[in-house]
Amino acid sequence: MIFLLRCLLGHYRRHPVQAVFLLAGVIMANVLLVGTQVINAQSRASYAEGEQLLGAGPTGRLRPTDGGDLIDERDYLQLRLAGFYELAPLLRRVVIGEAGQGLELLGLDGLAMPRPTGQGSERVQASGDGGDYGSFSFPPYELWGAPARLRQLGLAPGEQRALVDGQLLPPAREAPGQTLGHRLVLDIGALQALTDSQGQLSDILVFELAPGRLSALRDALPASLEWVPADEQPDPVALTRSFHLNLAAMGLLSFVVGVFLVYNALAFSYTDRRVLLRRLRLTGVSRRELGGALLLELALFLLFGAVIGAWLGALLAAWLIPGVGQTLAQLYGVYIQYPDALTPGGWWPPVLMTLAAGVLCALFPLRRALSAPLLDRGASGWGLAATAQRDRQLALVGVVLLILAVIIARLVDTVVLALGGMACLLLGAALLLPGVLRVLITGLQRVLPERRAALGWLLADSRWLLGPASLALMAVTLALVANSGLNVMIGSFRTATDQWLEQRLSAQLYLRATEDQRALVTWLEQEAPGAALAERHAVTLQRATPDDSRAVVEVVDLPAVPRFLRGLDLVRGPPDAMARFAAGEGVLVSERAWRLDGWDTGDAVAVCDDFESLPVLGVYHDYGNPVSQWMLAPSVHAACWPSQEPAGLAIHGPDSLDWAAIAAGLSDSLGLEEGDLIDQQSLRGVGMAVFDRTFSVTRALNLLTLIVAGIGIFCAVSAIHHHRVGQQALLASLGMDRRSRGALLLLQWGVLGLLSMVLVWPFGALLAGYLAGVVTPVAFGWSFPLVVLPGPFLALAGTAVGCLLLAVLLPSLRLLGTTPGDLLRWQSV
Amino acid sequence: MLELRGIRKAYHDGEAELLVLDGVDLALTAGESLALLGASGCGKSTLLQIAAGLERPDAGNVQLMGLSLASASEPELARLRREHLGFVFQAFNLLPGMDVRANLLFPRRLNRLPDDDPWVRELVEALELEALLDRPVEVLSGGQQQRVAIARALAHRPRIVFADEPTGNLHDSLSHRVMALLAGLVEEAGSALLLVTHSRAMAAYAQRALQLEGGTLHTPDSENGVEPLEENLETDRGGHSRQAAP
Repeated sequence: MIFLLRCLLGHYRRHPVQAVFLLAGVIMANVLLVGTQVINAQSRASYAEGEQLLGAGPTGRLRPTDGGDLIDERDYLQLRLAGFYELAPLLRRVVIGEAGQGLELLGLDGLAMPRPTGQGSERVQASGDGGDYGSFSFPPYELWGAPARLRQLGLAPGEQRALVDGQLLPPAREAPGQTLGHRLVLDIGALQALTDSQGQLSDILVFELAPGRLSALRDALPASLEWVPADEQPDPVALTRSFHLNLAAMGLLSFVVGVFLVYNALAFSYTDRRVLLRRLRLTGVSRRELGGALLLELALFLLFGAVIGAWLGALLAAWLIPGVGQTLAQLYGVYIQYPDALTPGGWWPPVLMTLAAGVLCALFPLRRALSAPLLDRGASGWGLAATAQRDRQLALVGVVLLILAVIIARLVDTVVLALGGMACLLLGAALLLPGVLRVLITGLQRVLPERRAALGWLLADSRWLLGPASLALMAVTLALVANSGLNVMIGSFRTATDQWLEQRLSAQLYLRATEDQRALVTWLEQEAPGAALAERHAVTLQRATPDDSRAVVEVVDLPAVPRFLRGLDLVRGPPDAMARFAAGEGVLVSERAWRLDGWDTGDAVAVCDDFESLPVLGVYHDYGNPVSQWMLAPSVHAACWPSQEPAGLAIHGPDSLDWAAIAAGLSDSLGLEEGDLIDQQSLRGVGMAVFDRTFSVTRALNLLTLIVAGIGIFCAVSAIHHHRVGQQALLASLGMDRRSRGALLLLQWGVLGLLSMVLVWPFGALLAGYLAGVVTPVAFGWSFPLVVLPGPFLALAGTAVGCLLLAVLLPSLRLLGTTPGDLLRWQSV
Repeated sequence: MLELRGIRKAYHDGEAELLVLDGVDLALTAGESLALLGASGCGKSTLLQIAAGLERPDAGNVQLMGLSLASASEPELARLRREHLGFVFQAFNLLPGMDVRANLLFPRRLNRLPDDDPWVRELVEALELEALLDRPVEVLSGGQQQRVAIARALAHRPRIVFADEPTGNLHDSLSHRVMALLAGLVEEAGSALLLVTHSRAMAAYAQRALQLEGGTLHTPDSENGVEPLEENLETDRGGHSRQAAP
């Protein structure tokens, strides 16, 4: 067997490109799949561990009963004085660094945090000597962050980051092993001073209570606080399921692209060895022995490639996790641990999948190679008739998959099914490619004048080329369709979000709630006549959905001012919905509440205990919100939560006012700090920046998939050029000089690339429509109109064809640099 | 028409050098046919490729149609091949995806010669290709493919035809038929023929034959029906006398 294996491997000594091609396919099938699986595994592990703050997991927390976000520190001190040492204060603030990046800071009282004992004690320490609560809690304080987060911020240990208002954060210190995600932790007193939040808390954390202590605590709570157990917090697994499914789908897409390349590489390898296999069989080697040796050879390649792929995938995951963590925090408010070392979890299922897919890929070409007649003359194996038949079969499967995608689109109700439909659409498009290309090339052959010999050869040869190159082209098409579809989807979503923000941010200025609201109103009356103040309130509740499950609902109010009412664009609802809403006759619900939690127009909802049920009047867009939202008229909100402090303030008025001067005047006269006041355009900019960061990981994975396909086409072209030797020798002998042959080669691949784009365009738009109309509404509860512009498509076509030509250039130069005599000699080898 | 002087060519495998041509001299006049005989791997295909400008020698000079190949540029060589040379390969090297007609007319179209020409009709008739003209070349048998390859090599009436083992992939009786057609049509076209073959029987279709052995050309012995070099040289001096096929 070893002798046989060495004999078979000898083929790769002569054709090393094929070995590289096969290995590259296996590696690339693995990298992104392992990367996304490791990220998902890391996230699941973080969710399972629950929220950990400095090594301790709270069993619950005390929250304001009015649903707001501010706790008076005196309430906490009262409880501590009453002997409840299981409590610790928490302040959450977002500050802006001098470079403009948002930094989410958590303020904790290190001395109030429980002290783990024994083996776990190291968990409360940051790295290095003395990284304990001592240096954390006393000046100059320390800013603790996950090593990956500090690296992401370019913050070296000991370094201090300046904020936009000139203040300095404490010296940075690495805190490995915490579930901090992209949050940075510092002493609560330091944070209160930094953000002018003296006396304010966001939460009071409650740690392990002795039996009976919980009821005592509840009895001791002031009316302004309520106990919320940790298990009543939104389940991060359920909350982020769609996100992780989408991530897994991106990994699977790249896996499929890699599998196409593996199949292509194996088809080359086995087809090129038909003569060798026939000769071995003629010398007495049985089919079984030959098949066994070939499978062993395949196993070596698969294992080697899978191990390298898994290693690269883990590196990729480590690189992407900070971005993913940021997206998760922004989208869902959940935090994952950034790994300090490569995480092994999550890599072995992709490796097994690669092994299984590799064996499946080998079956067909292997069976064909082994079952060839002994007296077969060992023809090229890429005969036109055989490949044309194969293309027809592929096209048939493609059409079936597309029909399946249409059926799924009509029936879909789960994210898994929606992604399955998307996979059908993508694969269907890819499988149609060879057949469509063949029809297009044949059509061109009929249209072009016969006497253009070189052009005639180019088209005829392109039809032949579809045999060996179609799988690589299919892989590229798959990646391009996915790329253009995702780009159109993200572009459309971005446009919709931008327009939505422009509508929704009706006021010209937004402020943090201020204690001295009276002074603000007086200033506006005196200095900016025409400008008015509107309060914004928000309450987070748990409510039973129409199908009797529980859902987190954010309840907000909308000032009954025409300017604000006009800014709300309803997805559905009767024409008089807004008028009835302004009159306090009902509520509006977000699209997510309608699509995912089931509240529809006409349903009655119980807003609060002391208020009658109100009908749902309409549904509005609420992009980017991970939880359902209800919107109330201010009168209804005030009736339900009469004493609630506003969460924010909005100043609005005619556009003709000098809003920059008003903002400056407000800041000066009320002593507002940077970040307390923000104008409409800046807030819109912040919203769009969050949007762009949210899709940064998707964009990165999308680009990586395209790179995978690009490497694939490079390997495929290199392998195919071995088969072009005879043609090139003939063209040279017929008097075509090197320049003409080179131009023909590039033109040929350029034509193939452009013709492939014929399929990429419609299917890219279809995929975008599928993502916007099917996947996103089911996964996130958001829908948006599709904006298909020719510009990005043309740019993608140009880039794709350019990259294709670059991929073709190097192998072509090698081919063209060979003398016709050598070409003839190679051909006969 | 074709003159090779002091041609030397070696192949390198690591530090080992394999000298296949060691100062070869050869001349081919207009309308003459010459067979190069030799064992497999002796360098006869290399000699043909050097003679046709497809390969450059390590030393020596090739004069082809008055052009010194050593100093000719790549475009000049390409033009020479396109306009004046024809090639027949052992592996046929037809253009897949194209039918017989397009393959046959390919060199004419490259040279911007009209498709419709009495000589083309004559070739089609002589090689019995009428029924095959619209068929894709992939479905043809080996013999049919080589007939198309011969037609293509002659379609633009080249001054010299280079044939490298043109019957190497064909069985015996077919080989003789194809070879007879090739030799007959080359003569009819007024072209010269440089034929490389390992078969003495095929070499007998040429007016004279030379054997390549040890890197140099020798006169083959006459026992297999090929005239000795001296007689060939006599023929050279006294004009052309085609030898009958065995």
